[in-house]
Amino acid sequence: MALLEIRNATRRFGRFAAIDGVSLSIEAGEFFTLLGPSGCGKTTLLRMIAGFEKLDSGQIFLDGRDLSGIPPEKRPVHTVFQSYALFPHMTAFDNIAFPLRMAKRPEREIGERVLKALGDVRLAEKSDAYPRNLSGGEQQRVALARGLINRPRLLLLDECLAALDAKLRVEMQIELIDLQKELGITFVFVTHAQDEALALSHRIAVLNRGRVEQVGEPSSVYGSPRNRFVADFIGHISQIEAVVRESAPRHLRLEAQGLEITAPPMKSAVAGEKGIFAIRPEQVRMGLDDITDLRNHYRGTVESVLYRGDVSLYKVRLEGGALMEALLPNTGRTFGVNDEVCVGWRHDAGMYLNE
Amino acid sequence: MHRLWVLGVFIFLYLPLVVVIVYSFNDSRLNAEWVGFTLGWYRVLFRDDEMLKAAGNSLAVAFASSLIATVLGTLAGIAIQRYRLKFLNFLVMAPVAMPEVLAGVSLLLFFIQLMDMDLGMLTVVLAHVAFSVGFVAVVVRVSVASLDRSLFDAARDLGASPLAVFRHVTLPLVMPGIIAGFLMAFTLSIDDFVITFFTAGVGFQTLPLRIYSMIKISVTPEVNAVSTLLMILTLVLTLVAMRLAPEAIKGEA
Repeated sequence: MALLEIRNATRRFGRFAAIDGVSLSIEAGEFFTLLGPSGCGKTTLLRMIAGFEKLDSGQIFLDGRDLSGIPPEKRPVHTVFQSYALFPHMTAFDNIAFPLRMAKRPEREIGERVLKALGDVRLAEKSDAYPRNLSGGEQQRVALARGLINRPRLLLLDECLAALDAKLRVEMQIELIDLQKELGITFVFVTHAQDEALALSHRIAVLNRGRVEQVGEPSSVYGSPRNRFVADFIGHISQIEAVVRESAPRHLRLEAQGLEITAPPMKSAVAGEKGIFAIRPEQVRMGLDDITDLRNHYRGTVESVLYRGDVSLYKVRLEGGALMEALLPNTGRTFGVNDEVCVGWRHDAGMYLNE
Repeated sequence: MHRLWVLGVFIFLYLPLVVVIVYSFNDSRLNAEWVGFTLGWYRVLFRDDEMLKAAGNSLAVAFASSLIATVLGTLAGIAIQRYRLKFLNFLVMAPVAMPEVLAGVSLLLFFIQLMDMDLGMLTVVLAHVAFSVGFVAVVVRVSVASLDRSLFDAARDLGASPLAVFRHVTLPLVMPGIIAGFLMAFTLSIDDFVITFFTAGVGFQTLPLRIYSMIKISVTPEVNAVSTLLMILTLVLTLVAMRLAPEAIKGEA
């Protein structure tokens, strides 16, 4: 059995199901992320694991033990809260010592372990500082050290990087990965930021309206989204309404807004059905007449250019009216608004989605 | 023009108090004209056994009632805020808004007719608890409200039982509010007249009751002296409470 096993968990608030029949299994040592838009139920699910929300039906097992009826303080699960929830009347030292004191460890052992933990998060000199005198990043590290000091089986992290500015956030992301690798403690991380989820996680569960849409490694969630919601939520993607003309074992032939497209095969696709053709901007190539060797290539007009320094994001109106995004490095040829261009992609790029 | 108005209001508010203080040092039996400075009235005051006894009673009642009110009000304030108990809030707050005469009469009836008690120190203490619990509860509730709710969750999450959360997190964080509430209850108790008048009976006298019975004859400089002392005590307690309460509202976060 996996370290954490969630079976058919459901939580209703009145008639609204915040968590609706969720099943997940999380392995020991994993960095697992619950990703979804606000209101998707990810924080509720986290609180169910921590013991702050009851389950209306279903079960949660930790190390094979059913957690129902076990209060939060008896679960070997600690949480790093979004607001950090550092105790304002305690110093950094006393905050980190809190879980050990509650576990009635001898004071000498507490002193040694807390000092080491403070050193590990590079806060050795801030031992006697109160939270109000610590910077956002320092508070964050105290909260992390406090959550980890008693070696929980599971550390839950609730949007805990959201309050940091962009640069510090990247630093903390790297620190989190290192810390998790070093300690081997299983992390369950909640976020609505897809870039953060992709960068940090071993596996991601995409949540929407209280249900799991897809579970998988970052590359599979990004590269092979199971449905339109996942494709849309994670990263940029262009979508065109499409009709299946032919469903072959090696390829699909689609007709989308007057374009003929050859796409990767999909077993469940049936000729005549309607769906979506979706493709990531970085899979799309753009040129003048030099990309006609690609199986899919069309004429179009540049509608807008978003310059980002290293790359530019182009929006191109194709013949037939479809809008396509292309992400190109600025090291090659660049284009301007109203330029007539040729746009294309490989026959195995993009995907057809019928959910 | 505005300044004159403000000045007028302050004169109206504070001149009577200043007069009382000034005449408590006046070397004359009459509050009529300034004769000369003396501490004599304070000497008289501290030799007046009746007055000292009344002062002792007032302090005892104030200590006892504000201590009980603080314990009950703290529990009520925390419970109201943490568990959103609207009805308890109403129950605790109603006596605060009740006219004092009404409260006095109903407490009197309650003690005599329902409980068959003898009026005296005990009934006065109970009556004072009844009207000051609400004040303590409000101050404590506000200081709990100023705390991040996730602090309590975090404490549970990190291994603290509900009782340990109360002891290690809630209580220390709300303590400034609790002390402010205690001082407020103390101040309310020590200068309460109306409710005390109804519930004290014949044999038991507090300072305000004693002052009242003395001015029935005339406002002597001794009354001025004891009023001055009471004023100073009240002022000090109020200042301390005001210094603590905003701290509790800021929550140090």
